[in-house]
Amino acid sequence: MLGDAARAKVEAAIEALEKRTDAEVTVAIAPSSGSYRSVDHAGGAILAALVLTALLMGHFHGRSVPEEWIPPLTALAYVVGAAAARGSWARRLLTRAGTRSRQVREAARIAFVDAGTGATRKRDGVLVYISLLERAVLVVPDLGVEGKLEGASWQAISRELALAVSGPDLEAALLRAIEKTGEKLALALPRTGSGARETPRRLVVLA
Amino acid sequence: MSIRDPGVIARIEAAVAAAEEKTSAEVVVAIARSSGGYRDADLLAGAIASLAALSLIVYSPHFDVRHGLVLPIAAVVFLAATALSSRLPGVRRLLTTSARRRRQVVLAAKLAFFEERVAATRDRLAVLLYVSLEEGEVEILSDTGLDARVPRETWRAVTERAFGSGAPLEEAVVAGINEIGRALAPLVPKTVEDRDELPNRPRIR
Repeated sequence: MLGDAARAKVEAAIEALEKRTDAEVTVAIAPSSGSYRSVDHAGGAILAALVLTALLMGHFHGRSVPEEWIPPLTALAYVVGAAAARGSWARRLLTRAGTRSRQVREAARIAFVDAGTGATRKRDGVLVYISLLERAVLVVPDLGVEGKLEGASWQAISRELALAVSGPDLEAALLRAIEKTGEKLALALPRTGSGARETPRRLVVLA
Repeated sequence: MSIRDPGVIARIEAAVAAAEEKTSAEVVVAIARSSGGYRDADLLAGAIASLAALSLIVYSPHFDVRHGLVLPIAAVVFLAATALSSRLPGVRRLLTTSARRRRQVVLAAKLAFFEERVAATRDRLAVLLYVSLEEGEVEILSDTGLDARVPRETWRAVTERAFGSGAPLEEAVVAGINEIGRALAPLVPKTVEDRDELPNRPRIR
């Protein structure tokens, strides 16, 4: 997802941000926030139903494959349909936006626990979670930062970042997300000077 | 008797209060119906059943079905098997691997840890006992304050003693809470200034 050079740049951006705010920012990036396995089967079922219909219609008109070929061909259509549904585009087409945003919210919270963002003493951890398939950016703040990022201006920023994440330049989108989050955090929780970083990793790339 | 019955809930709540008598740690119990969407298993069951029906119609000499009825029959069998699978846990169990079910339970436990605010205690001395009914699995997650004072093996031993015995689930949950209290009492003893920071009532998810 990200080359070594891009990772280094993102980590450097987060390090620079730490000079302006007490919040401990971690960026997590995931290819997707759920397996969406049922989409495979939905795709398979749709194609199998279409192929079966076509084969049966052919039979009515006397020009179709021998009858005994129908079950294996239908099964094959299912497999092909399931494989076709694996692409990001099909995944987005065959799921509801509400389902995807719930997946993103849950996966972000799990990443927050896994990355140790919620384990800092001063509870000033902030996870910026980015999920590519869903084209979503979500910020999960710990108790000490809660309520300081939300609001109308933040919603506009979120929308802008989500748009950037769906574009081709992932590195630029990440740097922009860090910059925008940083601007807000520098105002809400300005650097007071003391305290080293407690969370081990600045950038977490999820499989 | 179901674990979600008011009587059982009250017993669990009382067990949590009793365990917290002996330790300044907080015990949080969360009970989930299921830890993941297993819709794909339901759809797979539907696909297998309708392929079987289709094969029966085509290959068996005992079935003579008009062509026009083949598609409706396949569709009805698909929908019926999908609905049946979502109501019978045995089917989903057959069509998913135990490793996947385990993974789902661990992820859902972490989500419950976040959403039930287990990390909100002052000294970070809280432990979550997460019970997932459909998978019949439990997971114990502790906050950082406890991690520093309680060896990790403790939780595995507690899980094995309480849930490895094959006792009915509500008995196992109460036993698990008692075991957690017993394990924490010497390591994180009760202090005078200890307050009850998190509700004792189990969270139904």
